Amino acid sequence: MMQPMFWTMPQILFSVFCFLAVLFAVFTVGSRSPVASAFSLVMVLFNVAAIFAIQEAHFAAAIQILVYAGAIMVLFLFVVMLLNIESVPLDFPRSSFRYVLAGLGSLSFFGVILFVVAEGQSSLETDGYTPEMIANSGGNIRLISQRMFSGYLFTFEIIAMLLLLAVVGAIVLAKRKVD
Amino acid sequence: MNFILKDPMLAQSLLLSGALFSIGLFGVFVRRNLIVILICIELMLTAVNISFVAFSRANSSLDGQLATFFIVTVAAAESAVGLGLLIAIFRNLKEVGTATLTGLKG
Repeated sequence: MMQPMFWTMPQILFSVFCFLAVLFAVFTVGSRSPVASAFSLVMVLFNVAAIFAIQEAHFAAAIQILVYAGAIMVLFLFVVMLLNIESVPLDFPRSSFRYVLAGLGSLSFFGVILFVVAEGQSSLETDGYTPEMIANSGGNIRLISQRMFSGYLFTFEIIAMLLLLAVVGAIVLAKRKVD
Repeated sequence: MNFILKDPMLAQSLLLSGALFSIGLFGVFVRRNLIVILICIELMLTAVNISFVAFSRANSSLDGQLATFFIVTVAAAESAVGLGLLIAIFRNLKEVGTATLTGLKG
């Protein structure tokens, strides 16, 4: 069996983006001001979008930048600006016990992922959407839209309903006084 | 050698996904600023998206990328409602730290 080449150009770029994503994720959790956290998360999302683009998931990359980094993070920054909070008391708790417990919890989750990577068995059957097939039938976005409006139409409608409910709920929650 | 380690990009994506999810989980456990906790939840949702896209490429399927789209939509709904709750909490308590939210403690 042919071993896949490791040091190709996309693979190197992929590693660089992975490293940057983890670095900015640490900044997100570790920075004291919420604005810095939000901007670090924007950088994480850009790096993740680059990772999606390298894996030829063009639609996912575009959605990641437009909706996540564009809309959702602007909403966050807007709320931070609106409430004018720079820091809250007892953010970063003093007791090291809390850090130890949190570290144990998250590291054990990472251990589960390591176990899956080392021991995982494939249970999915491949679907036949190879890169050549996707390129021949009009690209990633065309195939995704065809699939979304055929097999996933009901899910799509439910999601639209959920968004409408979330908009109404957010307005009711953020309103000054309920009449 | 299993099917994940045969594909270095898949293995690396899963490790990245696990790392981002663990960092976000750590943030949710440690931080006491509600805005930062919501930001960490977004980080965890992104981590899940990474593994969806990686498995979608490895299995030459498109369903993983569709799942990514639905997750992003649910994340948008979640952050809208979460930030609405945050504004309501700030209006009543003049603060968004979880240390003061002890009304249900008994």
